[in-house]
Amino acid sequence: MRQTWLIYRKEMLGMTRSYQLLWVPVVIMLLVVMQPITSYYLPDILAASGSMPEELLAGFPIPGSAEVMVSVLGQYSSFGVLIFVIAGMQVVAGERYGGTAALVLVRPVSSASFICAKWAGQMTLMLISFVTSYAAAWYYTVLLLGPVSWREGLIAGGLYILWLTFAISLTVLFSTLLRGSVAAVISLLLIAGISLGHSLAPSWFAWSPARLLMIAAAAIPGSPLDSVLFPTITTLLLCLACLVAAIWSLRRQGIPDLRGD
Amino acid sequence: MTFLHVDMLTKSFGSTTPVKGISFELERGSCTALLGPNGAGKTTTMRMIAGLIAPSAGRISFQGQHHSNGEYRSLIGYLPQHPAFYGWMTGQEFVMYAACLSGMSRKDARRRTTFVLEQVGLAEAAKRRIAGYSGGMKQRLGLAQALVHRPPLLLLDEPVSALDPIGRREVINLLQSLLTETTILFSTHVLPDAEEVCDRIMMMRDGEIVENGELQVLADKYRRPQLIIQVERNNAANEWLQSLRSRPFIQDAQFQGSTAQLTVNNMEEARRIILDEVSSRDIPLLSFQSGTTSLEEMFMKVVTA
Repeated sequence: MRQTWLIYRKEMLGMTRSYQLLWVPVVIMLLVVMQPITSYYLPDILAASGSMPEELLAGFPIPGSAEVMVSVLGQYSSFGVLIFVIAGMQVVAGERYGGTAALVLVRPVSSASFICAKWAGQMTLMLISFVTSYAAAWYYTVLLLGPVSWREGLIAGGLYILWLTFAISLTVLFSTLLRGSVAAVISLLLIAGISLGHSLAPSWFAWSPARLLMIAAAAIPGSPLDSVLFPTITTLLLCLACLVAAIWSLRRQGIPDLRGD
Repeated sequence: MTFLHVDMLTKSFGSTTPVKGISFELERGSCTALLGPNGAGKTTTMRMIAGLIAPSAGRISFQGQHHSNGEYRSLIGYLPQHPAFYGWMTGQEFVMYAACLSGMSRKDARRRTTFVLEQVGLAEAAKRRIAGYSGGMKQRLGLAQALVHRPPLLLLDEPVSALDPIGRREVINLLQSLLTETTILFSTHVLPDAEEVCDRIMMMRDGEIVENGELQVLADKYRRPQLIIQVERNNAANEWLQSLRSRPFIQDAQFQGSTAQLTVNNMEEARRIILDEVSSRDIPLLSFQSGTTSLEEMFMKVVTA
């Protein structure tokens, strides 16, 4: 337990010193806050560009707050996932292939401590980024476009946190198994595959974490909630399975030499 | 008393087998040098003992305890050949982190960190980021993190190869001062260093141990009387030098320019005959030195045999 805490603290210190703890939240915040702002100012922007006819501009619809919140959530499942996966792809692979893992894992540190601390570090980064950016997007949406229901907004946010947790667990697993960039590509492909599968054949993928996204997007406008229980449980189990697999394989594959063997 | 026992240790990667069933024991408080040419399997052996890669076959036990239960980890201090660190940490933070991971209390870790950084000569650089360290400083930091938790067994993979002569001297002295309390296994191809610190040597070739024993015993076994003769560069002298090759008292001869290195059977006879000829033929002799073959020649003999 003490080891886990030590490695976690080292992770956080590393993220602070490399400014990751700053740029990831800032980039994500910019991405999502742009949604309510551009939606609100789009007619003005178009008018300023001068090539739009007056009549068209007058009838230009400004989307409702619920619609904008749904598009905010959409940013997390596209660019958000991309950023978290890329930020986390070196989390274990970097230490394994960079040679520092040899100095850490030769000590009495359990694989579970190592992987859990790494995962917790990435989760902290994700939670900080998500909470700050979601709050900011919510604030601008309410300010510019009208109120968002507390209950639905929070439920949708929670479901997205769960989905991002899944993405991070998957990245930690592949970062343990493969080299950093390959890990990122495979994680992204798998995540995209699950989302795509769910949108093509929802009934087959009703169990999958991607279902959470659909439920969240449907919840915001206030339509009755689907059964959240089933996909939530499978997502949590999948996260756990990813971590267990990462812990199991960490020492089993051997720690590569710096010269690379 | 046996501290580390290695029995039929084997490692294969696909079709290659860098370590082929080696067995040896290390006594508590002994210092053993693992010698061998590049690719002999030294690093692989070290990494298996350190628990970083799993052996394909064979067993390793510490103080009679089997290797696989993981408790041995606190007994080991390991310095890899190319130690890597987090560049954004300071030297002091890294050693502190390593000490705490090995289970030392914060207070104890802090005191030991200051002490070992002083010991390896990094006291002044302790508060600087590792990214700005030179190669030699990283090697010293690697040594500091291996020593910080007072491990009873030190595994050092090429600890001095990356250091300049001064740094090498310091590290050798440091290792000598540790000898009473610590069992040391270090790999090197710098033979004089091995000679200076170690009481035992183990030579590996192609994944097998070809010689293992007390340094003195091995040295006696391989030591041969030797003559080194240097003459001025001219044809007549060179011809004479080359002709020494076929004398009955010469066992082995090597020539480098106008210098001959002769391994002889009978020193008295060789010295008398050669010096006679030098004066009778008026050979322009530059130097004449008699001694015994060095550890390096023994190394060459064993690993190329």
